[in-house]
Amino acid sequence: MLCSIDRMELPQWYDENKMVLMVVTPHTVFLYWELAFSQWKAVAGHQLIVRLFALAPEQQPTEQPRLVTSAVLPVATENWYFNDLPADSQYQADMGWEQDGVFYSLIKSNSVSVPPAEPLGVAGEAQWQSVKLGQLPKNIASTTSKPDITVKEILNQMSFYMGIHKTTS
Amino acid sequence: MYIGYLAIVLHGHLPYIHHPEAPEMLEERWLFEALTECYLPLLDVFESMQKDKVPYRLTISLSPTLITMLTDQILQERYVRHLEKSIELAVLEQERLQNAPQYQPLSVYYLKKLTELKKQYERYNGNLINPFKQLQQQGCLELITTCATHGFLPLMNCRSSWRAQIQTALELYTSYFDQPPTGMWLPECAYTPGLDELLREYQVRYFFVDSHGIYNSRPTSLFGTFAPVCTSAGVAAFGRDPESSRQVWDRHSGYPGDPIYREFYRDIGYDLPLDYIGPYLPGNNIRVDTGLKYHRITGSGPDKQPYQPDLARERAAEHAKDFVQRRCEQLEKAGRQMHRQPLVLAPYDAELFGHWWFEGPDWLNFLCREAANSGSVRMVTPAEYLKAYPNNQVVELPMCSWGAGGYNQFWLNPSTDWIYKHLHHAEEKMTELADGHWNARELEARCLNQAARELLLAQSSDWPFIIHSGTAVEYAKQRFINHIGRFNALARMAGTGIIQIDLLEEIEARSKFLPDIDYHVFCSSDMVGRPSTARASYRILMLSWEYPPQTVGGLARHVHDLSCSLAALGDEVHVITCPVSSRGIYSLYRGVHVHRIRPELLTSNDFMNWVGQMNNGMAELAGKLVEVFGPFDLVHAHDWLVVEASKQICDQMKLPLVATIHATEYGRNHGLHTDLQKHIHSLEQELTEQATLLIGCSRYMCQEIARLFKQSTDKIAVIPNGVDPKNILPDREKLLSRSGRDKNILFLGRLVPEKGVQILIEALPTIIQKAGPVKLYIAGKGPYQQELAEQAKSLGVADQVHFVGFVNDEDRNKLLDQCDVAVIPSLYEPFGIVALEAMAAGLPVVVSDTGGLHDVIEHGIDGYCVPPGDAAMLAHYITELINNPELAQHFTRQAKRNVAVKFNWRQIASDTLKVYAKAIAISALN
Repeated sequence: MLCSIDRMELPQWYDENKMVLMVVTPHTVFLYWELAFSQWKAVAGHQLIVRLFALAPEQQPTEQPRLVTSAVLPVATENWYFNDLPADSQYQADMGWEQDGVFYSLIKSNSVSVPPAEPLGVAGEAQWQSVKLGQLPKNIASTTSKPDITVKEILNQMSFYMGIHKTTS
Repeated sequence: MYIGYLAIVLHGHLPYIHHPEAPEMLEERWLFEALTECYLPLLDVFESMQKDKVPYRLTISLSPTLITMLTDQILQERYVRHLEKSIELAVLEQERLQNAPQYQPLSVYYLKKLTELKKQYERYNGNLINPFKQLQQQGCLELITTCATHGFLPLMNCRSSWRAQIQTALELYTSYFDQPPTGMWLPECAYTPGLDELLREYQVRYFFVDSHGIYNSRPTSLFGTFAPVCTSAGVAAFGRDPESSRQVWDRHSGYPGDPIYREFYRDIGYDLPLDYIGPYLPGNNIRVDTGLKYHRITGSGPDKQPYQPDLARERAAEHAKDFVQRRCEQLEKAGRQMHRQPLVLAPYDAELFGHWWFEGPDWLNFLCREAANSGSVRMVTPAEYLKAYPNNQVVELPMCSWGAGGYNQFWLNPSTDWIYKHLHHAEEKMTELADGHWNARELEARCLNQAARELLLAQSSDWPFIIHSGTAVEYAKQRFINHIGRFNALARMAGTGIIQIDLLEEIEARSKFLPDIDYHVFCSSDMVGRPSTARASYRILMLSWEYPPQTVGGLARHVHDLSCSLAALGDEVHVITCPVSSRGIYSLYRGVHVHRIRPELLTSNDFMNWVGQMNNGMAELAGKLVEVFGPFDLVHAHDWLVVEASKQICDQMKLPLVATIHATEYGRNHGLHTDLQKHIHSLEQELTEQATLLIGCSRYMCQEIARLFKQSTDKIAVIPNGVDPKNILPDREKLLSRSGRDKNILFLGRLVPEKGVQILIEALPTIIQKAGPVKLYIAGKGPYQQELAEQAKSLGVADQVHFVGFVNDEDRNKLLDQCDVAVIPSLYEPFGIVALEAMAAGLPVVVSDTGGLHDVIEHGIDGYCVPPGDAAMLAHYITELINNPELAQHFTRQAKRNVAVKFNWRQIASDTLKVYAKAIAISALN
C-alpha cells in the first residue's frame, strides 16, 4: 500500500460527455473530447466529423457562425489541433455525423477567443483610470402619441399581456 | 536630474519537491543548487548593499512552493548535509589539483565560497525567509508572490481554480510576511482576460505581462512598456521592456554569453571518472552537476579556457555600467514622448542570477551601485511607481505569456496535451465536492482538504514545462499522475463517504504543502454573497406590475425570487405592485415588504390609461413609504410598464435607477408593426435612457438592448435569471426509464407563434415514427391555441396532443414529473426560464438555439440545442433522448448541477448588488 500512492495510474476515461476547446496561440486551437458510454451507443458506428466555427463578433450577434474547417476523424482519435486560423477571433467546435447531406451535431465545445497577433495599428482614444464612466445621457422625453386601445383589445392582440384582466378585476 | 525609473523584478520559483519517504531524491538538488548558487549569493549581495547604505530597490517574487521548501525542516537538514558534502568534495579537489596551477586557485575559490555559504546559512538558522522579510521591512525589497503551485491560469477550466491558486497563495504569503503582497507574479506571466477581475477582488494592485501583451492591447497603449496600463477592473499591468530583457536573456548577444564568464555546461560531475566523483553523485553513479565548474565560456568550440573569477567580476562591473548607460539613453528617448517619467521594467527568473549566469549576483550588485551613483536612473518598485503615477491608460489586455512563442504553446502541445483532460475533470470534481459538502467535518474535511492540495499540486505549470523541455520527463510525468491519482482516490472517498483512514494519512504525509488549506476555496460561487463593493444594507424600491400570486409571464417569479434573495443578503426590499384579490395592500414575506396599490385606483378600461393609473398609484405609494420606512437608496424597475413611476420617483427623490429589461417589444414581435408596439417601444426607450444602469438576462438580450435603444454595452450588465430548485419538486432520477408506457413530451409556455409550438407539432409525426407512441402535453394558453389544434388535426396527431391550459406551480410540477423530455422550440426567447425549471426537475431538455437559451444549454452536455424553426432536427433530437434514456440521464445529472451553480439566486442577488453599488456610485458622481 505504501508504494501504491507513488505509482498511481490515470483513468482511461471518465464516462462523460465533454468537449473542450483551448487556445494554443493566436492561430492554433486544441480540441479534446470524451463521449460517455451511452453516447457511444447512440452514435451507433457513424463516422464522426469535427467542425470548427468562427463566431460572429460581439457587436454583430445576429450573424451566424461561419464554418472554418471540418475533418473526418480517424478511429480512436480523441483530440485535434486546428492550425493556421485567423487571429483575434472567437471559435467553437462541434462533433457529429452526416447522413444524406444533413449534419447531426452530437456535442458542442465551449467557445474561445484567440488573442490578436499584432498591434492594432491605429491609436484609439485613450481612457485613463480616473475617468470612470463619464457623463450619462440625459432623458429625452418621448414624443410618440399614445395609441387608443382598450384592455380587451390588448388581450386579443398582445398575448404577452394576458392575465392583465385578472389584476384589474 | 532623474530622467526615469528602473524596476528590476526577480521571480523565484521551484516546484514542490518533498519526499520524506526516501532518504534522498535527485530532484531535491534543484533546491540545493538554487540555494548555493542563487538565493544565498543574492541575499549576500542585498545585505552588502544594505550595509553600504546603497539606496537600491528590487522586487522579488517568492512562490508559495519555494517559501514552503525554504522553511521545511527536512529539506533544511538535507541541504546542510548536501553543503557539507560539497565542501568535502572541494577539499578533495584542492588535493587533486595541487599540481595544476591553472585550476588549483579555483578549488581554493570554491572551498572558500562554500564554507562562507555554510556560515551564512547557519546565521539564518537555515531559514531564508527571515532575511528576506527583514530587507522588505528596511525598504530595500518589495516581496510579492505568485500562484500557489505556479499553475498556468489560462489553461484552467474553472474560475474556482483561479480562486484557489490565488487565494491560498496570498494567505500563505501573508502568514510568512505579516501583510498581503501589493502585487502578484502571474505564473509564466500568463494572462487571460477576466483574471484582472479576480485580482482586483483580492486587492492585488499589479501584475506583469510580456511586451506583446502591452503592444497588442486594445486600444493601443500610448506609452508602450514605458508605463503600466490599467485593466478595466482597475488593476495595473506592467509590461516587460524588450531591450533590457534581450541584453540579459539572449544566449548569444546577452551578457551571460560573454567568453570571460563561467561555462555552465562543464562540471566535474560529468568530467571526472566515476570511481573518483561517484560518492558525490546521487546513487554514486548518476552524472549531475556538482557546482564545481572550472572553465569559462571561451567560445563556441569544445576547448575551454580556465575560469578566472577576478576577470569575470570585472566584466560584470563593465556590463552593469553598460546596462545603466543604455537605460539612460532609452529612458531619455522615451521620456521625450511622454508627459511623465518613463519606467523600464526588467523581470527575470531569479535563478538566472547565480545558477545559469554565475556572475549574475555580482552584476546585480554593481548595477544597483551604479544606478545609485548615476543620478539619472532611479530604481523603483512597481508599488512605488504606482504611488507616483496612479492614473494609467485603461486598455483591454489580450491573452499572452512570456513562454517561448508568447502564448500557451509551451504548456499545451502534443507532448503535454494529454494532461488537461485529467486536470479539467479534477477541477470540476473538486468544485462539485466543495459545493456539495458545505459542512464537512473531521475526516471528510481532511479528505477534501487533501484533495484540494493534490489538485493544486497537479496544476503546477512545472510538469508540462519539464515534459516539453525534455529533461527529467519521467519524474514530472509520474508526479503529475500521482497527484491526479491521489486526487481521484480522495474524491472517491469524499464522494462516497467511505474514508480509508490509512490511505488518507499516507497521502497527507507526502505533502505538507499549504497546511491550513480550506477546501471551500474551490466552491463555484462566492457563497459569502455580498460583494465587497456593496454597502452592508440597501433600502431598495422594486417596481413590478406583477408579483406572486399574480403571474402572467416569468416576471413575477423573477422579482419575487430576486427580492427574497436580496433580503436574505441583508437588504431591505420594498416591492410595489398591482393589487390581487387574495392579498391585502401590505404583506411581509421572507423579509420582503410587498405593497399593493389600492384596486379602486385602477378603473380605466383603456389600456394606456390603466397603465398610467398604475404608475400614479405606485409613485404615490412610494412617497408614503419614505415617510414610514425612511429614504430609499435605489429604485429597481422591471420592464416598461413601470417607466412613468420610476421616472417620477427617481426625479423627486434624486435616486439612481436600475432597470431590468426582461424582453423587448421589438423582439417579441420581430419588429414594430402597430402603433401600440411603437408606443411601447418608445416607453422602453425612455426607460433605458432614464436608467443609471440596465440589466439584461443574457448576452443576447444585452446586445438587443444596446442595438435597439442605442445604449452603450458598458451600461448593461448581464445577469441570468435563476430557479430555486426547492420550488421544483420532482426528483426524476429515481423515475428513470419507466418502460412500457407511452413517452410524454412537455411544452410549457404561452401559445403564441414566437414560442414555436407549431414547429414541435410539425415534428410530432416523425417522432412517432422513430420513437414509437408519444404524447405531447401543451401547458399554457394563448390566442394561437385554435390554430395549433387545427395543425395537429391536419397532421393526424390530434389524439397525441393534449392542451392542458394554464398551470399553477403545483400542476407544473406534476407535469414535470410525468414527462420524459421538455421542449422549448421558441423562435424568440430572451432567456427561457422554463428550460431551467425543467433542468432543475431532472427532465432532459431540447431547446431552440436562440436568444438566451444559447447561454443556458450546453449542446450535447446537458441538453440539445436545435436550429430554431427546424422541425426535422427537433424531431431528431427529441427522438435521441427518448430512445437513449441512459444518455438522457447523463444530461439531466449535468443539467441539475449547472442549474445549481450558474443560475442560483444567491449568486444572482450578489451580482445584482454589484450593479446597485455601481449605480449608486455613478449617481453620487453626478
